[in-house]
Amino acid sequence: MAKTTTIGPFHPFLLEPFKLDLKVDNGIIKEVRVEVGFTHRGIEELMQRNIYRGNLFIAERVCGICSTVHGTVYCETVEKIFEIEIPERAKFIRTVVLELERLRSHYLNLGLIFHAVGFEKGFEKSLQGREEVMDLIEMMSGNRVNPSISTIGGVRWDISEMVAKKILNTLPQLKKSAETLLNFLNNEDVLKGTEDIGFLSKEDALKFGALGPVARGSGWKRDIRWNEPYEVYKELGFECVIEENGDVLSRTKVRAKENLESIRLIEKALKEIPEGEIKVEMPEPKEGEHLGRIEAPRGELVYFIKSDGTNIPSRVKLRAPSFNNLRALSEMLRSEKEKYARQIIESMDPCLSCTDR
Amino acid sequence: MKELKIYRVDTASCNGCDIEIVAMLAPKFKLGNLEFSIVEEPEEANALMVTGGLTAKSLKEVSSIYEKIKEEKLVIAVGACAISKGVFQKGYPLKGGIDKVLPVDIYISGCPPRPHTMLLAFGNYFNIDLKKELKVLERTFPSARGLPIRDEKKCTACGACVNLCPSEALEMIEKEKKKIIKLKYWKCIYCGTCEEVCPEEAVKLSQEVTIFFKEKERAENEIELTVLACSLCGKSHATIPQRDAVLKRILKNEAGFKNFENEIVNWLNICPDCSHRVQTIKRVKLRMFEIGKEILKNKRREDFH
Repeated sequence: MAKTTTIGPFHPFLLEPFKLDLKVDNGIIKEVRVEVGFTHRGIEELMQRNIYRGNLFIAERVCGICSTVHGTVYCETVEKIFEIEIPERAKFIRTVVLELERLRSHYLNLGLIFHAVGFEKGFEKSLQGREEVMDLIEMMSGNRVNPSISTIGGVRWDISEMVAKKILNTLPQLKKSAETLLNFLNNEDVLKGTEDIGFLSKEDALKFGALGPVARGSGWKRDIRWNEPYEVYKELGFECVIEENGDVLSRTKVRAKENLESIRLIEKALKEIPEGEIKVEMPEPKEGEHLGRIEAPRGELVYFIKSDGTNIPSRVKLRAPSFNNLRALSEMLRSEKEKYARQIIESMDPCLSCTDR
Repeated sequence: MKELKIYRVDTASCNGCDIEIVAMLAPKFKLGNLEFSIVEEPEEANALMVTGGLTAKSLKEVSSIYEKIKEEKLVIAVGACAISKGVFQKGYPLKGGIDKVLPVDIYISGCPPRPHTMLLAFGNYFNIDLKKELKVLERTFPSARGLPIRDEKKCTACGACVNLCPSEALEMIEKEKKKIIKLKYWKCIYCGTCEEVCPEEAVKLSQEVTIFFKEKERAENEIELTVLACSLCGKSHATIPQRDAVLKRILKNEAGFKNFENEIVNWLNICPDCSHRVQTIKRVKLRMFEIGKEILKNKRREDFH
């Protein structure tokens, strides 16, 4: 007999509030309904009433897990409209912090997946690794979660020689812990059990517009860092990580492998970072519009800003990757066992505060 | 009460505070004397941690969860949004901080607060000796962005920080020939804008990041400055240090004005309304002078012919 199970909106295993209505028949999920909008803060409307400079802090607080990404894509879009060319050193610093942020997001997600399958050793290990990354971010910028690194025309804080040295010294340790996490995925039996769960075929991933690790886990080479390189990813030689299977394990593997790639990028960027200015002055506002794209830890993040020449933007629109991925989630959950629901949700890595804004 | 069982509610946060609560579970933060856990059902909990400002959608849910939790019913507001809406002051869906509907016991300030701060706040509330752990908990980096410290001697009450503060934590009040700049750090998000825009370098973010309090009113401080009265109409328009700062800048940038210090001071003592009027009179006089000159010229020409 079919019954409806409701998960959320305030549920302990969901980091953020959203509601899932699952129609379950004999332990098999038949139908899925997703309801979002619990953390709506009216950010787009708020940004259309605020000056460009103040909007930066609002953009950073769209999401606490990927705050630099939001701040940076906002700055990049405004810089394109105002025709600002930022210094080379600022581009390198942005890349370093963006990759550090990807590391901390992926570590958290890996930890939550380990927690979901009941592998506590892995959960503690990944939280421990995450704390190391957090220390590096705090040492550089002064805040653990909102580094507030990007500003219109460059970056706010410089990487001093001492901090660069400290980061380079910590990287081997981080690499070790990232490798341990990848080894868990390859060797532990608990995690091998996640194979063939939450399957999303290559065709479906395209059909539902999946982004980020969800698309890459299904074999699509969809990464803005690779498709349309920004900052200094082209110079650093970025390599896209893909997995073919399209299940929970392969999506998790994509994240674990990206950790190693991020560490490589940070190391290379810190070694090649040029000397020079970090910031240029913001000029008079210009008229125009631009669509900025960036690869957030969860996929492609899009900002559209239209300027009418005043110091307040006339239109701001943002689309978060989780918005697309939530559609794919209902496809992943369909005809799966109910007890696997949590693992599948965590493997999609929902970020509702971005989606609701 | 020694064992703290926390139920976390995200009303409308950016999940920055939420991940910091999860980060408290990291092995680094294992405390000897304080036992705490994050529970999965509100019925098991005796403390409620609220992150994010109140929205219409979450208002009912929070009240019903508060009914369910066990005695003690400790309510902890985590982060600037839960205390005062934070950076979303003007956002239309937000109704206010959590203290609008629930009695709050501890406010933990920060955007987001560090896990260290949360643990120190618990320790402080339950009078638990955390001496052994202090080494880990109180460690900060020199770059830390904490409580803004203002230098009363340097501040000129120009209002640059008040205008640009993203969370409206700074407020300018004018009363009885005094200008008061109030810093409500229960609203502060520790972004550093005030430090960046201050022309006198009077604001500096300190390394003080452990900020928690039981009453909002205590988390405020203010600077008082005497107002300068206009020498013509008597209306207040600026403060004395502000005038001096402007004078200093003029003398520094324009070497030619060095001998006219008194004249500049006299001019700066006049309020913008009056100076506008004075300027109009001056302009009329100048124009009349020019017309007169022209008439004279023409007259001379006529004489010549």
